[in-house]
Amino acid sequence: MAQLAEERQLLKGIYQRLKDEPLEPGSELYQPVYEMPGSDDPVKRLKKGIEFSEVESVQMFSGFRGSGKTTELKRLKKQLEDEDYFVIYGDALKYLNPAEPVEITDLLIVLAGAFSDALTEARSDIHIEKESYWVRLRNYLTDTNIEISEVNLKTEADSIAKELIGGIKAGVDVKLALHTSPSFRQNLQKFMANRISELKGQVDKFVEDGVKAIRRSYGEQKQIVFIFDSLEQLRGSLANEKAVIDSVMRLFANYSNLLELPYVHCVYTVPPWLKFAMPGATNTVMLPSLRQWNNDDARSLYLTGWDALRNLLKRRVGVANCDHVFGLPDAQGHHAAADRLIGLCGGHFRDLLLLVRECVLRAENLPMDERYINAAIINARSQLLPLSIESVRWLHRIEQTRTPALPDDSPESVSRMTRFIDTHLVLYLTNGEEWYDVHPLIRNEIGTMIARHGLTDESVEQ
Amino acid sequence: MSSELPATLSSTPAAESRPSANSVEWQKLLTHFEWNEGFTFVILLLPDAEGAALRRQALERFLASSGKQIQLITFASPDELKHLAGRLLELSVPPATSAIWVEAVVPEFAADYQVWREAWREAVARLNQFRNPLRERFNVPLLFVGAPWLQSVLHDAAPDLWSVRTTVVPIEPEASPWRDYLASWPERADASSKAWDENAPDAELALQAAASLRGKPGDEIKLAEMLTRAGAGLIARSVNLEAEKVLLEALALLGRHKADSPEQAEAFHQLGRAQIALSDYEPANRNLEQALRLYRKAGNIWGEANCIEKFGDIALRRSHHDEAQSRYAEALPLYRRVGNIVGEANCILSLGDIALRRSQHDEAQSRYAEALPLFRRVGNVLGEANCIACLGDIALQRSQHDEARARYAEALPLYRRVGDVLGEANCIWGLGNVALERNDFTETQSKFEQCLKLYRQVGHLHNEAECLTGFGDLAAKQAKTEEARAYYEQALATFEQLQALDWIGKTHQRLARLSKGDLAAQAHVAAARAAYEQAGLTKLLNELDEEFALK
Repeated sequence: MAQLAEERQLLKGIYQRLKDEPLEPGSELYQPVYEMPGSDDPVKRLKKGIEFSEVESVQMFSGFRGSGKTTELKRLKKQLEDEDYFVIYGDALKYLNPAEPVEITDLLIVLAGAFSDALTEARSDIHIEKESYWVRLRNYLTDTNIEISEVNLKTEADSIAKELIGGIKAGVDVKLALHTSPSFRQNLQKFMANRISELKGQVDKFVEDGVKAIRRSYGEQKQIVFIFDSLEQLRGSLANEKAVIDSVMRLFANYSNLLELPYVHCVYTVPPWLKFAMPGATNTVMLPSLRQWNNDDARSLYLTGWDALRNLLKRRVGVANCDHVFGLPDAQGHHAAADRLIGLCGGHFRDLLLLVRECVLRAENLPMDERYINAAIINARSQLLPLSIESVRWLHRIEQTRTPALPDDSPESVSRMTRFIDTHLVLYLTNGEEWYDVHPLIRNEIGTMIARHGLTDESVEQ
Repeated sequence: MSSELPATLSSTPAAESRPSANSVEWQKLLTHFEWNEGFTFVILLLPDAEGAALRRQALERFLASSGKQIQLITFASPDELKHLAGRLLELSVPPATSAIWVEAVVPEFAADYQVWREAWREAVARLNQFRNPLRERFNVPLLFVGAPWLQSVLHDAAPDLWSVRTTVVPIEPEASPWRDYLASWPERADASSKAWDENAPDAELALQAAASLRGKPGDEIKLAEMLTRAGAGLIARSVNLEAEKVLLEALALLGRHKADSPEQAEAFHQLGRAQIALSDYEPANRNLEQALRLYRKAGNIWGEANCIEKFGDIALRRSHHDEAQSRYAEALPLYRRVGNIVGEANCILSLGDIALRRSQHDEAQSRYAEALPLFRRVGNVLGEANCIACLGDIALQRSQHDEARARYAEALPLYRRVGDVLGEANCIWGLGNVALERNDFTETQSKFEQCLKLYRQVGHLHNEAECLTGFGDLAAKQAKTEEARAYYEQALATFEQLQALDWIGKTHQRLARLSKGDLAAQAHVAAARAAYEQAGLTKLLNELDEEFALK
């Protein structure tokens, strides 16, 4: 039967509400999944870290792809502003190339530069004494006298400095070159390698000037928060992943104290794989997948998580439309068709939205037929496949042990584990303690491949 | 693949029958375009470029109904694709655009698949960091259109971009491939039990099995085995282009899932056989080298012998007679060692062919006579037919026309019985030459036309070119000089492409004959001489010198 025009209009409206985008605070589509009783609200933890620090602080925030980081940061910003904090926001991707290794000198320059840009772009009522940070940096680089004590170094450093400074004097835009020119960045790194303290001093000085300018306009007691987003995207390309991972690990292992900015509460998003590469090294607030089951053999249902996702779906589809779209509810008010999709999303909002979108696009009439739901599930599952035998072995170990089951802490293993979680094959979950499990969409696949290829428990354990 | 696709579901008549999976997926994409606002990232997976063109045209028609259009981005080379990020970030999108279509569809079994895969990987890895700028820049859907493997490239190399995909639309190949293969050979569509090698696998069964395994994770190796089996079956039916295609697909799978294995050796071997039949000697050599390496690694003497024999076949086709002889002589004891009578007989037969080409008739006759009982002993009808036909060739060369005609007439039904189109064509060719020597031009024309059609059907370039020289000979005999010249030149181009020295020489000799007395003739004679010398064809060289009074 041809679809009624009204139904198509309804589905069209729902489809547009299923779009996967970061949500602004107050959006009717936002479901406060982390604010449920018993859950560990990351925004609350970050806020507490800020509130309990008198003058300045550093908070690290992380989460895997699609966990809702950007939405939660926006929520944090709103809550802080509501409590009279002065909040500014910077995006690392505007300054750094995530496919290149990063040094502390790069990051310090970029932090100060982003702080400077945020002040001048967003707030015309704030006037920093002297120049923007980029101008100050330029002046510093072109005015610096080179002091070299060894003959060998003199030759190499001299040529690096000449090239760097010569370029800047000739008009090279430092901010742009830092972002887009690997050779400029490498030269700058080499030039600044022995000047870290000096650089930190300048950055701190600039930030102090910024803080003073803010307080002149907004009050002497104004507390300032600087959210620096997208550092978690530093992961390199397939060709240089190891080099990038190594550089980030060096940065956080050796220089995390330099990431404090005077009189500013900093919130940095950091790569989630730091958890595996440097366990315990950074105190990071991590966004988990929304938990739908408990960490027991039977995976008994965690109803709070289920209810959160049911409510999320209701917001998107519209409470009044749910019966029409998913069919009549059961005695508890739950829709079987919706529950089927929720049960297979692994607690990932993106995956749930993707599943429902697939159903809506296929639906020829309402309520939704089993066929559409089956087809949507098959389509979603196929996007997680194929799995190599090696991956299946590792995923099976994770499923059995509910741990990352990392074979070692090499960058390759860390990177692979990160990919598993980023692509949702593995879920990072917490219930006070953290644990791991495989995505429900691939559990059958793993079982089938284990059986087919004769991967016994012994061989899997090897 | 149908050329007309439904515009929207609401415009199609009520469907009593269930729509195909492809039409459902395609309709899903059209509905997305109908309902979407703003930027989305869509991945469209198609089996090949032809399918992509059809789907693009269908989407264009759909969008045109609302005055909208697609902005198309394609790539002339993998290097161009690598710079996709720059191209997209500098793209200006006209107001009437409602989709950006970025297309590079290269199937896994394409020869340049690896290069294109690497290009896609590099392109999306660069683009990955610009996920947010892309969202900000474009207010319309961005479609990446590629082969099914593009999905894994995206989630490995561009995980940020992948994570914000709106939908993936996979379009499978429409027809069951086994039907396609049979449909492409209409005269033999019911010949599923007929193959020149009666022990050759049934291609139809193997392709059906392959179709049921395709797309199932964990079954890649089995799929590759079925494809290899299908390839062997298709070769037996002289459906060599399709055989090459399925064998390339098998090798792509084995390369990823079971490299350096006996299965891979077999696939390389079969691919080499298909490519020899297609006169594609360089790749055939390379693939047989791979097969030989793997057979030797596994201690598989039978496989080793098969490969060496095939090297002999390549050399023979190129008129490198000494090399061919050496290869067959090397393969022969290996076949005897493992008791492979057919292999032994084929080697002896081939040694006879070399002797025949060298006009060493007694030697050739002796070899064929030695091979014939071996083929009969094992009931190998094809080998038997080959021997008898070769004895017909000897008789023809000796101008023993009745004997030649009798032999070809004896061999022809045997070739037809086993469905060997090439052998059948060769017999008809022989009969045509008998008619030519007897100046029966009508019969000659008829026979040559028949065998040309069959040579083209099986893709046998060499014999097709020989057939063209036959037409040239026919025209020359009827004093149609220009017509003859045209045929010879057409044939020569093919022989040169195949580096078939003996026939390069023979064709130049024919052209010299046509131009006798002028400068062109001298050039042709020189070229013929060079070819015969290079091939070590002393008798033909002497005949050339005699004909053109060069001594």
